Amino acid sequence: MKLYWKIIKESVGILLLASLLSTLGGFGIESVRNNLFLLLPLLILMPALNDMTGDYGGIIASRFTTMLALKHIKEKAWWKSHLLHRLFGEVFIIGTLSAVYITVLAGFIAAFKGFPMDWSVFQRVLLIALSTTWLLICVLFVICVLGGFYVYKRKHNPDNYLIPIATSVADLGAMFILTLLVRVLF
Amino acid sequence: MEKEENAFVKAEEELLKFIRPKVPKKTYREFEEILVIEFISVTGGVLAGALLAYFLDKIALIPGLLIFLPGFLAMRGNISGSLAARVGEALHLGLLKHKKHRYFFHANNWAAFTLGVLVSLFLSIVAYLGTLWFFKVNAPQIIAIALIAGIISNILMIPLTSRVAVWLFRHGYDPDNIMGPYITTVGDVISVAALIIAILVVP
Repeated sequence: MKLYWKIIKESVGILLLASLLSTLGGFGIESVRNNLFLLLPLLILMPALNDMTGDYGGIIASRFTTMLALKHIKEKAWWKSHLLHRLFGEVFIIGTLSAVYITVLAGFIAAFKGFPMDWSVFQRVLLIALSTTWLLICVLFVICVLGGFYVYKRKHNPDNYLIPIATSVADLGAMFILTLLVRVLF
Repeated sequence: MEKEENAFVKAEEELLKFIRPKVPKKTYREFEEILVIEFISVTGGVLAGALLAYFLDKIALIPGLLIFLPGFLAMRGNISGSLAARVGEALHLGLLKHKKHRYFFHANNWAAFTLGVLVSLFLSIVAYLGTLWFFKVNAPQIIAIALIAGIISNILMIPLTSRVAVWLFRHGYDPDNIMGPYITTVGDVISVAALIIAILVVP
């Protein structure tokens, strides 16, 4: 019983907070629900986009905290660090490939279900997937770099802060950017 | 003849250098690892989305469901991910070699189940209140749907997570490397399926 209560006591707070932040993104999605239901590829894309951006938040945060811990990166002229350039390049390229992949897959599934998929709709859905991914990768990098140095200077472990913050920002940000782009493009 | 062959080999090497510029092995391996894991993970997300699209007529009738959905999917990943990490750590430390260590699994599984139900209830109340305040729609059925979906997804996902982690370890794999994308992929599909079952069950 001790282990049971220990796990619950330690986890419940952060779980409620993390889930609440993700739910805030849901408010934006609910406001464009009619557009989403009419545009089947977007509805199919939504969980995958959420997963993808959350994963990149975790990857960027954990790789950056490792660089900090190994002292491979310094605060002075951090933008010149080749390791950071490499990380950005890798995540950016993988993000682009993943966004294209999920859009194509979502398009096929929507077309199979009878949705009138044409080139114009595909382009707009692809634009939404790519823009959401690219914007979030840039935002996550800024948050991780600035937040990481701030926490590190105060002699705290950046792992305890950056990873939950990055994944929550990614989840929330993805849904808000998706909502905004749906309103603009459709 | 030999001179001509050497010249040909050298020319081929120069051409290959031009066509395939050298990428450091470490960069290429990292890139490959992340790409493969990411493709597996997002495929699960797309399958979950396909399920949503298939049952669109049922989902569209429930106001507030899209408020609840992102938090519900995130909750599944967080709870199962932590469970998999704890089981993986215990396996690596050799703490689960004997049958008497079943207590560890019972405590972890029940804790994960309780957390899943608590968080589902919390999210359903947030979704209900949000729909009432911001969209002026009273939809109390979202609370029942969220609770039932949380219970069903827990019943399916929690034993699966523990057993798969142990199975992987016993077959020589590191659960820490595989459980992340597994949980994202399988968790999304199971969560959406549980939600749809709950929608069909609740009047």
